[in-house]
Amino acid sequence: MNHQHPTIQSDVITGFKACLPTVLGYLGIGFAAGVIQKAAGLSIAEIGLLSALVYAGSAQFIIAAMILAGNPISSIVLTVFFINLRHLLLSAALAPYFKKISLIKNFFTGSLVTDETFGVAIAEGIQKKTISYDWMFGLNITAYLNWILANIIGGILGDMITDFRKYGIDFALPAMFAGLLIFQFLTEKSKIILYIIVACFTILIFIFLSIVLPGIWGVMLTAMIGSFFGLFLEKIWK
Amino acid sequence: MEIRFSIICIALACGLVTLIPRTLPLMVFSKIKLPDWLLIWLSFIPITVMTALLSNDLFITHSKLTLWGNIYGLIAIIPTILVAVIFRSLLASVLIGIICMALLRYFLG
Repeated sequence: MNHQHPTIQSDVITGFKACLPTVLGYLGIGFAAGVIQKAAGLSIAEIGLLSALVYAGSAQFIIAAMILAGNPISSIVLTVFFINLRHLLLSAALAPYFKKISLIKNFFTGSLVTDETFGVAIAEGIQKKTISYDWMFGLNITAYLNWILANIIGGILGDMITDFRKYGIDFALPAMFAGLLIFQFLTEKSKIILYIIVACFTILIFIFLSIVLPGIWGVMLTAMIGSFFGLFLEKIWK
Repeated sequence: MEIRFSIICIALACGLVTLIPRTLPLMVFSKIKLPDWLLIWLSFIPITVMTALLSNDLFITHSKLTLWGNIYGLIAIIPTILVAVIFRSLLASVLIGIICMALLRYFLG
């Protein structure tokens, strides 16, 4: 019989492997982000700095656009704050899995939370009922390093690629969200109808909200309202 | 290679305002006992966030709501979803999505 106790090392490696399917999507978006930041006049070093310190694709796209437009730093920081506020929800949704982990370790886990790694982590959590800190570390670090690398490569090659949209690379991000969404449905088969209904309702909320309240609030508010609808449905379903 | 002081400021400030929402809940909520309704609410967050993000990519073009504006995206998402359901592979779904998008743009402009 082969007993394999999970060691820190094996967990980190498993986390790294779990990240691999998202690596391609990340590479595409990171590459695109690098190209756009370069086009906005940022140097490779500056792109690397932003990728390492902000580590958020949508925010980096906006930063590049606002730098190009000459917006004041205060506006840029405020906009980024609102765009990235949704990480609050992601972090909160992960929190129950990290109850027994120390404050400092949770700080490190949280610092690298992204939409994509969240999707992978939550699927693991629902399936295995637990998320190992070391596994999460492997997942996070892989995504992080991959992102920085993709941005830098995009910045370097950006001048050479005239139109990366031709290759459909920009579709990597929505494709990844769609894939992660489907996996969410599949994690709990008994609730799949409930989840599909909630997702459809969420789309309607999003469309409605973006007419009434265009802009950054859309995603976060939609998610919160959609979740309340889910809560409501689950309560009356019982 | 240069790093402008303004960029350093932007990177640090934006990094900070991003770091706080990322770390605070994990540090705080994991220590407090959350009420049951909140746990159920949070359990829907993955789905609603992914749906909202996807909707944002599919229905918003140039910061405006355009239901059919990203028609290629709406088309390409179908095989993406199918591959995800059938093959349960994130990589395969992303690849199919990219390829479909590339084909749509190549043949239809």
